[in-house]
Amino acid sequence: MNTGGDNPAFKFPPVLVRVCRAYQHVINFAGIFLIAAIAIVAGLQVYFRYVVGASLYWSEELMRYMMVWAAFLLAGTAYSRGEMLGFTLLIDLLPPRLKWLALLIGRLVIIAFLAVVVWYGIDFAWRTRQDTATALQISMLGVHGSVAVGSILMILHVTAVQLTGEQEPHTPGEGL
Amino acid sequence: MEALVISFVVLLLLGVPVVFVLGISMLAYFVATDQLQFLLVLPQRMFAGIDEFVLLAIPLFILAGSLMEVGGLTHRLLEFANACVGRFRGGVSLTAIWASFLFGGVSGSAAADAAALGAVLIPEMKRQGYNNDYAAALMGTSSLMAPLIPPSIAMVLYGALSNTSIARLFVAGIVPGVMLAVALTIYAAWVARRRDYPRRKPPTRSEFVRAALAAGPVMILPVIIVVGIRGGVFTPTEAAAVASIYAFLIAAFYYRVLSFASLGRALLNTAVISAAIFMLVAMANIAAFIFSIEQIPERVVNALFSISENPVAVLLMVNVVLLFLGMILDTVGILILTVPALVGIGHVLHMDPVHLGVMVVFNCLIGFVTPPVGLCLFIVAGVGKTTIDKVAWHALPMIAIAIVILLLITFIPQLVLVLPNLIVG
Repeated sequence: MNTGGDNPAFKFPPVLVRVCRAYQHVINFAGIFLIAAIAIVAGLQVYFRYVVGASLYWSEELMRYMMVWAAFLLAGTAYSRGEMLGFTLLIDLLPPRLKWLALLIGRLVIIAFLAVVVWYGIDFAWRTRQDTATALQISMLGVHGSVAVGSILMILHVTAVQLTGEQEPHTPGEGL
Repeated sequence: MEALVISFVVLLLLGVPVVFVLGISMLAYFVATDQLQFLLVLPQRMFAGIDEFVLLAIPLFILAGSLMEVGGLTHRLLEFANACVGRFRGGVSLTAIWASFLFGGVSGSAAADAAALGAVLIPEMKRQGYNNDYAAALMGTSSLMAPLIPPSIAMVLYGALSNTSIARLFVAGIVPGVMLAVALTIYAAWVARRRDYPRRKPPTRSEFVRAALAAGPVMILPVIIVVGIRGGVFTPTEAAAVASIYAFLIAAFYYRVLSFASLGRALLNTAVISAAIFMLVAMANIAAFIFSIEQIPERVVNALFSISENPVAVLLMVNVVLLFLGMILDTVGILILTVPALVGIGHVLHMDPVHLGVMVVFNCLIGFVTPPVGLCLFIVAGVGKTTIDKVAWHALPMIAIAIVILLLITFIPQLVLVLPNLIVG
């Protein structure tokens, strides 16, 4: 997450900077772990189906749920890293103040939208707490909760980008 | 419906990322039509949209590409392409085209291709006396081959959104990819003759063999993918898993360049890029819900066919609309918004869904190099330290070439379908 380290316009207090860094470490680790786990489980699935000749019954569901969590946990990071592309040609032509205002309005609307998703996301996850996943036999609360958690994280990232100024520039070589 | 369209346009112009533009306009629709009981549908549809086994192919293919990249394949592919075509006039520009072609067999992403190869080849072309803007434009246009040569993230997405066989889509992209490579080669050779660009002395036999051996394992990857999913031996997701494991083994044990740090970087990059794509797919699933309530695909199809019932005219209109969308939106966004209606159009015209898919993906790809917001133009202009408008000017003839190929594959379906019919059956 952007903590305003290089940006003189606004700096987070040192405690918060440390919290943000620790948070980003945890999220990055989660992303690395989940993608590695998906690749390994996918490999195991192929191995068991084509070499051993007995399909794993839990692998597909586990991979799907790990990917859903990875997507929601890393979505905020993707926003901060400028991976979520928009049409910025027009606002780039605006004078700096107007551009700032346009970005602010856009981000406030994003946060409002995400707040709605969090609210109903909690409702959605809570309603399904009694359901269990077919193969893994875990409560769907832990699976469906990813939507609300991911949306809360996205709100935090959008707020951090707004407070600290610029998004990290889009690193080429990514996206489609 | 007006609320949806207005908020979509306003937010897009405000520079809001497309993923949120989609989500917010869907929310605006529910609020404006007073259907608040559907708000619980938002998280539910978002979850269901990405909880799909076939979509797992996307992170796994991205991972395979990232691993090959940190495994130093860019350099090896370049050396091999250079050994093959470097001896002709304008050798390094031909190398750029064919290295892109080879790179496409590892990565399914045009942006990754433009960035990785552009960083090496644009400075090199400049050093050999090429016009810098021309070099950047050629690199940008060549990168369009990456999503045509299997694997291809755009094809996985199209297949998932339209329920089309991904195996057939993958194979069907090969002929258009080769056509683009050959056409660009002819153009670059012609430019090189006119401007008297240098050639390189041909490699000795042992140099050639060495380059081929170094690049060989990389070039086997697309073969594994195509052979693997041929006739449904593997699902696309399983093929992607095999590809990423293969890439890991090659990078770690054959090239021996994989460190824990670079492995971590490849995994993290994969997670972040996939998260961005998956959020778009999540929002798309809300859009699909509203589109079906409002019968948008049917309305679009009716509107198009009320203008003309001539299939040629309809397909031309579809291509023009997609080219226009390609100027302002990225591929994932276009696919998400248009696939439901396009499938309807294809149905009325009795088009093979694979033919339609390749046409649509190729069309979206051209958007990567058309101003004002072509992603690959941005990348090569950045790498070449020049401006978009200068590169775009030099890219114009190449865009024209791509559009000619688009028209050929639109109106001669056999070009697209011959390989999948032959290989996948």
